[in-house]
Amino acid sequence: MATFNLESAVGEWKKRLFKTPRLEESHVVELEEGLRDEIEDLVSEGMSKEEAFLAATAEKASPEMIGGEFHKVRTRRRSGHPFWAAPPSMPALLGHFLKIAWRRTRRHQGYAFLNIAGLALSVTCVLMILLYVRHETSYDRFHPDVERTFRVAAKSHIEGIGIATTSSLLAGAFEAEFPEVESTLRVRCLNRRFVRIGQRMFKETKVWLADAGIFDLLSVRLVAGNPQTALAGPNDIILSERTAKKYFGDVDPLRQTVIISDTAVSLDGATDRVYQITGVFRDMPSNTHLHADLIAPFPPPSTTSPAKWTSFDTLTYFKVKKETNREDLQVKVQALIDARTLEEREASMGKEKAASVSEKTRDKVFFQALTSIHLHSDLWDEPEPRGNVLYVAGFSVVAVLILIIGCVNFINLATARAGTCAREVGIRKVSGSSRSLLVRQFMTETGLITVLAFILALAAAGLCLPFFNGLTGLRLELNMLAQPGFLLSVLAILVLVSVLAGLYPAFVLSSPPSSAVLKGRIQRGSAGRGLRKALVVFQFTVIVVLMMGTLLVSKQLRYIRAKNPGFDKEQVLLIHDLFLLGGQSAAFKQEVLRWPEVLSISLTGNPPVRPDAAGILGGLRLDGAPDASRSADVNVFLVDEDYIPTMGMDIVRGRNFLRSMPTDSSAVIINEAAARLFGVENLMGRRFSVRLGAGGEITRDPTTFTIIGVVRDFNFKSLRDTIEPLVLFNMPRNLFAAIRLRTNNAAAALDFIRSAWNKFVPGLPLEYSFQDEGFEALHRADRTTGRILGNFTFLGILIGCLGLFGLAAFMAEQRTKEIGIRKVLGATAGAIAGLLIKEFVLLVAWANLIAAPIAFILMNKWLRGFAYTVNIDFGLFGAARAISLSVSLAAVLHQALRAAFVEPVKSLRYE
Amino acid sequence: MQSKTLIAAAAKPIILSILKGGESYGYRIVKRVREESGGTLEWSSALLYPVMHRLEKDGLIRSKWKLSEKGRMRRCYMITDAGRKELAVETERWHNVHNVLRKFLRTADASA
Repeated sequence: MATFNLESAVGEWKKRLFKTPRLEESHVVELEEGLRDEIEDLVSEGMSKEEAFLAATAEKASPEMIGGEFHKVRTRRRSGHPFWAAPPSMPALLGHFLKIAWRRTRRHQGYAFLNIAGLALSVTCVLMILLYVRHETSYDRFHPDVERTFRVAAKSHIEGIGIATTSSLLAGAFEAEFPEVESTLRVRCLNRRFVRIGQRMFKETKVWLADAGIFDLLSVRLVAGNPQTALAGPNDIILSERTAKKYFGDVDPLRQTVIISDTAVSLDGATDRVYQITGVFRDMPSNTHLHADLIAPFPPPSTTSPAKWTSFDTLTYFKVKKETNREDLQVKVQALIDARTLEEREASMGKEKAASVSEKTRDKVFFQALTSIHLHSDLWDEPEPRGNVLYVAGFSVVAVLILIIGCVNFINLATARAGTCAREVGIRKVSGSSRSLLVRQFMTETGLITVLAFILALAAAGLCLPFFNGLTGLRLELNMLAQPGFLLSVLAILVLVSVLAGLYPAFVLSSPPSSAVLKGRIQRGSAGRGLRKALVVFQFTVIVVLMMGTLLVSKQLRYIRAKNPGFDKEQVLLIHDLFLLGGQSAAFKQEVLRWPEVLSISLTGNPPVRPDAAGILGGLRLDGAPDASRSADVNVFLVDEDYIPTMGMDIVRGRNFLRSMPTDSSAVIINEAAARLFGVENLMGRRFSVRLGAGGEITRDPTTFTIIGVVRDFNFKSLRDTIEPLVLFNMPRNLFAAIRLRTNNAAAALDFIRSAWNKFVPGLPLEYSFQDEGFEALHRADRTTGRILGNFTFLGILIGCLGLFGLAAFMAEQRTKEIGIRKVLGATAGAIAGLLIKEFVLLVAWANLIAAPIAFILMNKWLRGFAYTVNIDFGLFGAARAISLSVSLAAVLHQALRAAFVEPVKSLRYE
Repeated sequence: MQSKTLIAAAAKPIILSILKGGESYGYRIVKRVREESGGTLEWSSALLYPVMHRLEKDGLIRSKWKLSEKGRMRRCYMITDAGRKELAVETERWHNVHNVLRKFLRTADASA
């Protein structure tokens, strides 16, 4: 240990004092004198010099504090706050840092532009995705006590299908049997009703029957009417604001009368119901899993057809009391349902049979948290389309990647420029700046650029939002940005970006020892060259993966569009709501057939592009088949004899239904998948019995059906799914008329059909669609994903290229002298441009190499969701490679050429 | 343990009364206070100086650089007439406070 030297210790102590502003020499002398007095005193008391020094200085306040106190004596400022210190609310020197940062930003405008533009672009992407993610995850969070509110759903014994609906009896049993349940709500969504007000008629698709619990559980807010009584009477009805406006304009809707019927033409008025409006509720926000326009009370138990435990027709919501164990309740509910179902069956089919049936057809009940329904529920009978949690996760990842790409640009440009400000750093160090001060200075600069980029990004996000909404079909609004939670997350991203992008450059920039810099020993721009290369490779790896993904998605979707789904989807017009014709559909069919361009027309409940319309029949077994043979769950289509020709499907064995054969009403045609399922060689003429009536309804007694033909497999669901077993029953339904046209002149055909329609039911709305549109709609989600991915990929490429452009410009500048010498020695412009280009193109080539396996794995994963897929081939990788190489080439070419054509005299004079 | 504001408030009359007994300098004042208070009042010598400067600026004391017996420069402080007057006022003020406090604290003691 070195011996203690009092003089040098005091000297050090004085140095610290001198550093403090406002401590004048006389002050320090006085302080020193006091210190020495004290030390001498302590030494005379027997302390060593070192101990005395430490003791005497230990109790001294910090130099800054002493300086501050001295300043207070002299200042005229009332607060006495020293002018050299930052205001207490601001970190020290922030104002100074900001000033310097602003000056530097202005001095290097090109560089600042690249940085700000790149960051702003990536932050715009992130904001959009954040808005989307927030919208998707915000579903149903606004209901009261939402954490205690659940929906009952069941996993069916049939193929384990999840069902969102339950028996309407369940809610009553809940309230009666389980004290832990606070309230319940039954909702039945009527998908299509016709509302008459005086002479006017409206088709409504969002009509609910619901209990009054809706005001408590689902936060339906009345703007007119009383929630206590609004749904009390059987003929009360409440309307959404939007609907009330549509019906009555500015007239007060309360106590007005509306008539609601199942069909538009009420020949006998049998289904007409007269309601009186008792309330108007606020339009439901977009982020809820079900929307209503009209809500009528849930009907009281019917005496003619009592509700059954085995029917699934009601959405049941319930709210539990605090601290209820959900699992326990679920077990109890399951037991209750099992017991009640068994009782019901015993009454109808006898004890023994009931037990065996119940054993086989037990549906498993489960609860869904209200907030989880939008993203995590994948059930039948869901009233509205749901979101997809995979997309939410996927886009979040894309957002992070794009943000990183933007930050990489920043890091690269900043470290590349390290040399240009090395001299400044050196001077600062020599004049006493510490490393931490320099780091703070650079961080402030990053912060400034980030803030500017964020302001730009917010504006850009506002501008792009309508476009993004068009792409996704969502209704996102920028005012979601104003929510405190969102602002907080944006702020967090801002800080994250500043730190991510600024920290490393700040340390690199502040690192060179001042002596080396000032002597010119630091090679300009050499700092972090390896890292820069690695980052560019990383950046382009991400970009190439995104690009391959985009290419694959579009290729797959093109493939699907072109793939023969087993039926001819072109030139088929679908007329909806055929039941509006009442009993006249056959006559309508004849009328339409009179138009020469109509090839055929089929009345059906199941066009192949409406997968939700297919029914499911469980436990089908061929008559005479051994008991041990497989019983099958099959899809059911209700069609007529014109269906197969109209749809352009092929019969591979047997024959189509014939009008001339009366027995064909109990004939069926199956698809190849069903034929495989039955696993019997000759199926023609085989029979099976199911409890299906002539109108497609479930009957008590089974009817026997005969198989007369096999149709070639066709896709009646999305091409994501394999073709499932299907049975076509010869039972025309008045739902759709599928019309095959000879012509492409759909407009003329449509005019004719409309005139025919108006002949039968004048004034009723004619709704139609084209089958190929329906087919497209099945793949809309995938197409949307593809488009969004495409756009973000494009932006990613743009950001990456901005970075490359900046780097190339810098490299060219840095190598100015080298280029001059090369030219003097006889290098051609081409050789020099090649030299600069090679450096970057090589990096991109590396990125392609790394991206290929990653993309391959991800693409395989995505394709696994489809039953029919394209191959991931070299063309795909080749295309991605070609695109990435050519755009990166384009980004650096300009700089390379500029450097190559500069006159050597100029480059040699440089510096 | 004394509160900061109390120390600050008491500093003025203490310094003035010390200087009334003759000129003194920084460290001696600190030491004097420590001794007189029996160690309960511990001033930071570094923070004494700004107070001295303020008193000087207010014209209550004045200072003079002198050579110490060790040959170092030492700043000595002495009281001015204004200082004496101020001390009288301060003494009055503190006596008042003292009397009031004594009464209140005694009753507080008793009731406790």
